[in-house]
Amino acid sequence: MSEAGYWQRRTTRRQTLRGAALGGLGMAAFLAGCSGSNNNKSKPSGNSGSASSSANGTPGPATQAALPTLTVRPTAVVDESKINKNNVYHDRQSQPWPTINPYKDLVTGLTLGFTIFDHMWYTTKDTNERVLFLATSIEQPDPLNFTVKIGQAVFHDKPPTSGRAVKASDIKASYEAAAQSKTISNSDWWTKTLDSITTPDDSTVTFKLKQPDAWTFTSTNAGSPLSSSIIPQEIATQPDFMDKDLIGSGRFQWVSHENGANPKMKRFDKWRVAGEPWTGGYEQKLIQEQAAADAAFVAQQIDHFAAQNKAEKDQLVQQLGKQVDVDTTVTGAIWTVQTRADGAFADPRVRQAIYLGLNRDEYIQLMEFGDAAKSGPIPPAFKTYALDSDELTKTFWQFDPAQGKQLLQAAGFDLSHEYEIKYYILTDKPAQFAQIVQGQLQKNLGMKVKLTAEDFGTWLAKSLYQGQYDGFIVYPSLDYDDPSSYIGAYSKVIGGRPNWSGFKDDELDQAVAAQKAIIDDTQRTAAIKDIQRKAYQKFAPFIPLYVAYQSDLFWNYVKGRLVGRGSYGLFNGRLYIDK
Amino acid sequence: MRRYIIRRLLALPMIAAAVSVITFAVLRSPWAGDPAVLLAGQGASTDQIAGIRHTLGLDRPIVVQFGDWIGHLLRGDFGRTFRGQQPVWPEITRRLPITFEIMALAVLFGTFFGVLYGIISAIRQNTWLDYGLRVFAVFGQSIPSFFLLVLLIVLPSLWWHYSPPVGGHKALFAHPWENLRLYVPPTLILAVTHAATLMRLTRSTLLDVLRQDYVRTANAKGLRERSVVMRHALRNALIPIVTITGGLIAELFFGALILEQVFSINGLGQFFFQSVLSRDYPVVQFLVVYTAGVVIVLNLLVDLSYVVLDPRVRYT
Repeated sequence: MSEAGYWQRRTTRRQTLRGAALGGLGMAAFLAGCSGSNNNKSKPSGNSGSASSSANGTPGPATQAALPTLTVRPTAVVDESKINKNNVYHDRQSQPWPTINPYKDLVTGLTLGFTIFDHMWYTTKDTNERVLFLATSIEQPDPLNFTVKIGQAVFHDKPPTSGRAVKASDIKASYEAAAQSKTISNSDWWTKTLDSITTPDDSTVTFKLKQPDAWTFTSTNAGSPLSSSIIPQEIATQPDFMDKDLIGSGRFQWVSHENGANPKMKRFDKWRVAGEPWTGGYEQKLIQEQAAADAAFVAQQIDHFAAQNKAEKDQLVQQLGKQVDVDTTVTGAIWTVQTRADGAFADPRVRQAIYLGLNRDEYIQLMEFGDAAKSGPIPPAFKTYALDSDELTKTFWQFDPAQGKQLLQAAGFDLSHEYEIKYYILTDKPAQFAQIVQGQLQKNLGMKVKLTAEDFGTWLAKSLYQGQYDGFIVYPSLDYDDPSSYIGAYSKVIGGRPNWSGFKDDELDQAVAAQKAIIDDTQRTAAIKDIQRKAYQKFAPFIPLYVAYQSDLFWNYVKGRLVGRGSYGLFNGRLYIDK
Repeated sequence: MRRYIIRRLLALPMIAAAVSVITFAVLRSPWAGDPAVLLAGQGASTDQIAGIRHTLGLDRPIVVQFGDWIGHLLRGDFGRTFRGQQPVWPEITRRLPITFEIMALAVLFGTFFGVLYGIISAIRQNTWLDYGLRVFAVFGQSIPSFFLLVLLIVLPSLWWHYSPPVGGHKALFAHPWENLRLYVPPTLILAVTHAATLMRLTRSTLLDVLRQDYVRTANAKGLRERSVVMRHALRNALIPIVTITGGLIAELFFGALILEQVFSINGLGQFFFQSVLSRDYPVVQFLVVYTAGVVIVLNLLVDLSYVVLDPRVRYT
């Protein structure tokens, strides 16, 4: 089979392993009695339909009509007294943490931010709604000042806090410590927007900003699940304390870990929401290999499994039937083809040709087995800010290779020159994606392109940040919790560096900067949609292709799940284990 | 003999110095990537990255960084990890028991089954038993252990909805049953390749020895077959077996990365792998030097064992 055709196979890893295993074992005649093991072989592939799926349902073919809606599954009305709240929820930890100190590692901090630590508010992904958490009110008299009143809560009962009440001064200390930390936030809100914090009394925190920022309350900035964690003042001023132990005021207390692996937490009985959480603890088990995670889920060693693709999900649904539920959401990671905006790509007609030469349906089928949705610059998860699919169909999503070839010819593009597609090799998907991009550019536009693989560090530092690529660089964007992060790529300067692709457009640059200061939601929404339209008119060199569906499988004894809130669904304290 | 040992031990610091210079230079080569960028994460600003670089001391001249590292190393200070800012030495010592257990079990199983099947195959040459064991050896050598390890996870899951226990290391003496349940199946699989290699080697070496005159003499004296094989023949076949086993120990001293990855065991192999990925210079530098030292010492021990196994061997 040719390399290009490799990705068109519909064989999953497990099928391959099983086939090879049975062949190999049969030849060697080592394991007799394997017959009858494949009792699901004769069943049709795909979703059996027998597994109960979530309120969102299991998505169908990759059309925008089949997009899983981001409806929030309401917490079921249950008789709380009948719930066994002592069961522990087990999840997977895919990598060991380098430290348990949330101020020294982002991934560590994200997990702990949702569990050990409390927060003042959170912002939902689907509705962009600010939900009060510890805060009882937030008042913003003008764009440069806001005041938060907090409710009553206590820290975990360990020294040095020993169960004392949470005060406004703890929040001030936590935010100031986060602002000084270099590793826990990529946002410059902490250094460029936040001016000062004062605490008129123990339950009032007043924030003063240097400049208006409409995205202040989002999870990227002051509502970050990590940076806005409320840490006791005694510890916030000496964050190294958290190398050894963790004390917060969140719904779980820290118990133990093994060299950064298998973290264990137990319910905090004095959590400010009476009766919650509905589990006795939260434990993660280190399982790095996807096949091992699959097996651990089947053996009920973990209660949740995030399938990597539709085939994996379907196979488990087929194997486990009605015993599992599938929650499906759309991720916010946009698979992107980034061209250059200078040199041979400076002519907008060249970039337009590339827009026209990329067939999104093919990516969705080959990469995700149909479980994905086409995306504009802002992914469809942000219903308010994303352009609607009718408009996108006529603009970003147009597929017309013949017109693309004409445009390349008209622009005098040198088709004899061999360009490169740079991708990273941290996981196998970028390689797969790059191969499809290569195939489409060659087949649809007649371009000569070669693949260049790089390790993630080199790719990020040199190829992406310093724009060291000749032609194309491909990647999935990060899955942001707010829409403004996606349009930052249209600025002349990204994170203090010149635009990665060499794209310099005064109008877009000013529009991206200006939207941050528009406090009115309606006006800001209009401005963001306008930026996306302008990006298309100028054929900005960031070509968004699709976002994948995320399928989360749960044993159906895991009740009270909350779907569609973005990462803040993890604040749900009413998840329980019904067994 | 003593001179030989001293000479070999004197070479140790020189080799360690050469390895440390090479490792230090390679890690900081222009194509190796920037740890500060990886620590800051995707989307970090130049200011943030510069701040991290300063905190880690990476903005100083390379010569200064090297001198600083060597100075601390000689004083027994192995530095702090870039990721997590934890002292390197405790991070390593916490993982050593896991690595030692994997190494001990894999070497034990590999050597035991390899030598045992090699002896059986040699003394039952050209029988069905011999053919069967040789098929096993070819199978064991030709199938990579990572594939067998993944099968060990996938097949029981498909057939019996069983998965090896996950969720942490259980100390051998505190939880012997749990510990062995966790470590014995994967180390058995890990030992397959070693066992297969040793089996073939033991068989061929033993067949050579069994044709020697002194073995014929032993047989003629009326000694039992077991005595002839175990006391007279096997001892003379042990030198290549010890050499191969010494190599395996050296390899596993560094951690069994594939096994640790597939079975989610947080040992030294994982630690090194993650450190390489994140360009955690202090960890990588120390572990490479440590491994070089371990390999040198193990090779020396293997060489010395030849003297015990074969009195004809002399070192001057």
